[in-house]
Amino acid sequence: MLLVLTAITLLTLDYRGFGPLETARSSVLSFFAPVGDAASSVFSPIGDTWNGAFASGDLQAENDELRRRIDELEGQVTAMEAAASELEALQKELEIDYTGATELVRAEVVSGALSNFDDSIQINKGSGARIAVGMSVVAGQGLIGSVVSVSENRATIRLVSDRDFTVGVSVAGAPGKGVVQGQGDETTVRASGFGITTDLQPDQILVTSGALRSNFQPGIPVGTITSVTADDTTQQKTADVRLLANMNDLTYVSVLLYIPEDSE
Amino acid sequence: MTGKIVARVALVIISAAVIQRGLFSQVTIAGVQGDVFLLLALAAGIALGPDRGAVIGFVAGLTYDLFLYSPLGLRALVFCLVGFVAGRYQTSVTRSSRWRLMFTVFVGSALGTGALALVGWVLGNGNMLTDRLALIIVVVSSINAVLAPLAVGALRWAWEQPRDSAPYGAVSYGR
Repeated sequence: MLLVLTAITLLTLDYRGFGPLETARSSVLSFFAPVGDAASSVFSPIGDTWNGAFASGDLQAENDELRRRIDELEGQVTAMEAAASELEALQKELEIDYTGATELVRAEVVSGALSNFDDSIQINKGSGARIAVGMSVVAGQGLIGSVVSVSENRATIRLVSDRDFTVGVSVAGAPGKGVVQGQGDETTVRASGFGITTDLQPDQILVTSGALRSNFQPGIPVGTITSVTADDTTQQKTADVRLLANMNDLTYVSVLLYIPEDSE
Repeated sequence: MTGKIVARVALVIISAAVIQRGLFSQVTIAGVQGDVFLLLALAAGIALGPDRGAVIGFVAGLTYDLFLYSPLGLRALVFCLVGFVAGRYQTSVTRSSRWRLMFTVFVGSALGTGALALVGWVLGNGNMLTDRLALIIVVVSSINAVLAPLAVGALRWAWEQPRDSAPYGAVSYGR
């Protein structure tokens, strides 16, 4: 009974953001970081052997698919270059600066999720590199997540695919704001909360809206709309969004050292 | 409980953390990794009784919570109860074997993982009750069942239980 009450007390304090608990977590992460890295190195041959033995079929299928995609993409190179130029011009025109003058901290991903019930990664930089909780994390084409916990030399990133991840978004170059939420899928998220009159179309790009008190810097590309659904009852539109960042190949990421103006 | 026992139990839990972080994060089955801390809670209840199972389950769960960003105390609560219930069940077992131990751990892991998902969902974690839960339960339970004899042996060593004090099941709690 005492232990149960202690656990419930801890849960309550954690929900209230009790400082010493976060300090304890941070200390454990810092202390265990080199041990965890050493353990990963020791066990990596086992992991490689396991994945090689049991994922070879997947690898062959992936290889075939990649060859097909190469053929397809080679035919789209010119169109993609034109689209990239158009996006850049659009961003400049609308004064949407992806990272602009915001300082970046590049970090290496050292670990995936440590449990079966979260979508997260750990990187090898932390508060020592001025990373703080709430900062946006990007890779390649766009947003991949935000910092949820940090120690001296480690930070945990909650990925966009996490079902508890939400971020305010807007349509690049058009009015209307909504919210993107993870769906447990590494390629697709769902955007909701757009007004029924918002002009949502497939292939439109959603970017972070940087709403008041949001930790997300405005203008970070999130994904492209693949389909739109209108609900006359709620007078809202929802959209399926394909993420721009490649969540399957996160080796190096960048943390935006962005602090909202009203929190300084 | 002597300092030596405390140190040994701590060593077992730290070893579990190393295995969880270093091995299970890399070796997955259908994208699902094992849960060594849940295994420890069950093994503690089976090998050492309900009270010690609850304590070790609490400590193991709290240790796991410290590595994650999920609510601190969630796994401490669930694994504490898992260790206690496993110990209670084991006191009713008069004849046992390695296979029965593995089956007990399999069922206990399934119930423990399900309970964790349910409590986590109630506390607002949207990643708990998903369509992957059944797969997670099966994989975690299978891995834990295979590793059960090892975990029970480790905890018996930590608590200085003689190897021949009792077969799996009729465990003496006199220490």
